[in-house]
Amino acid sequence: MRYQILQDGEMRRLEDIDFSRAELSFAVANTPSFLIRKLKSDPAVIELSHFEGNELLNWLMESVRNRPTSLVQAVKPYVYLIAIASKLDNQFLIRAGDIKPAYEDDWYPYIYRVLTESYKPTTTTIFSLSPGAVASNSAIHSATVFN
Amino acid sequence: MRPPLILMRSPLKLETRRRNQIENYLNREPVAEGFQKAIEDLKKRYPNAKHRPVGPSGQYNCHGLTFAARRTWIRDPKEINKILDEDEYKQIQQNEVIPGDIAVYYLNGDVEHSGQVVKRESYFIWILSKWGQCHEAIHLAGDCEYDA
Repeated sequence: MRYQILQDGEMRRLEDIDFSRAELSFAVANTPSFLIRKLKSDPAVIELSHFEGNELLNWLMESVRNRPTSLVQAVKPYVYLIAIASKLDNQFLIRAGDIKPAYEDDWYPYIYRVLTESYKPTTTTIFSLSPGAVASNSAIHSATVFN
Repeated sequence: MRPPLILMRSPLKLETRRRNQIENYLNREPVAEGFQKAIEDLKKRYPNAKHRPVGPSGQYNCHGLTFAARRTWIRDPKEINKILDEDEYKQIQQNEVIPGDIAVYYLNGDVEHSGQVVKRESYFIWILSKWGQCHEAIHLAGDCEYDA
């Protein structure tokens, strides 16, 4: 008789998500596009993207119910929104369009618009590179000085 | 006569040299709790920068400091390109940099940050800039949260 020994995956809980890096990104963001770029690779967003879309929508709705009074409250709507935008099924992002902050926030509609315009379903694939293989980064970084 | 109504968030009249309005908004609301801690974290993370004791403030950002004398927040990168074009800025080489020039940080063609050159020592260029809603810092061009 053959048998398998199985172990369940670690249960993910919202309480365990670390928003500290997202908070810093929000604190230093001069533009919404900077915030979007930083959050797309934020551990909190990556972790949240494993949750159900409906759960994310509920947390998003909850997070915009009252004006944020702390940095973590201020960044949470964007973290949820970007996690929703990373879902393969874009129905969640479409439904997020019905959720509006109960307070004035210029960045929220701007970020939502950018996410819907640039929506691409994404999946994560881990490659093992053979020794000596070189990975290149196509991002162009530059600071330009004007006078 | 009643004083004019001042909204918590409203744009200023701000124009390029060609008299086109620059999209902006002045946010007079107090910043949320936690920014002071973020500033303290940034001071530890960037010990070589000079951290100016201003902020946190949501009234102006880096672009508001660079292009609008700390008066307002310029959010959209397209507006920065408009300013650079309509105010006739021109790109220069590193050996031509002098204090008073401005530095614009791009990533994949998108403007993410800007600041004013305050000092140049050989190849080291010191920039005065505002870090989001946090504070102002004088830092080496590459020694900040913004990719350069």
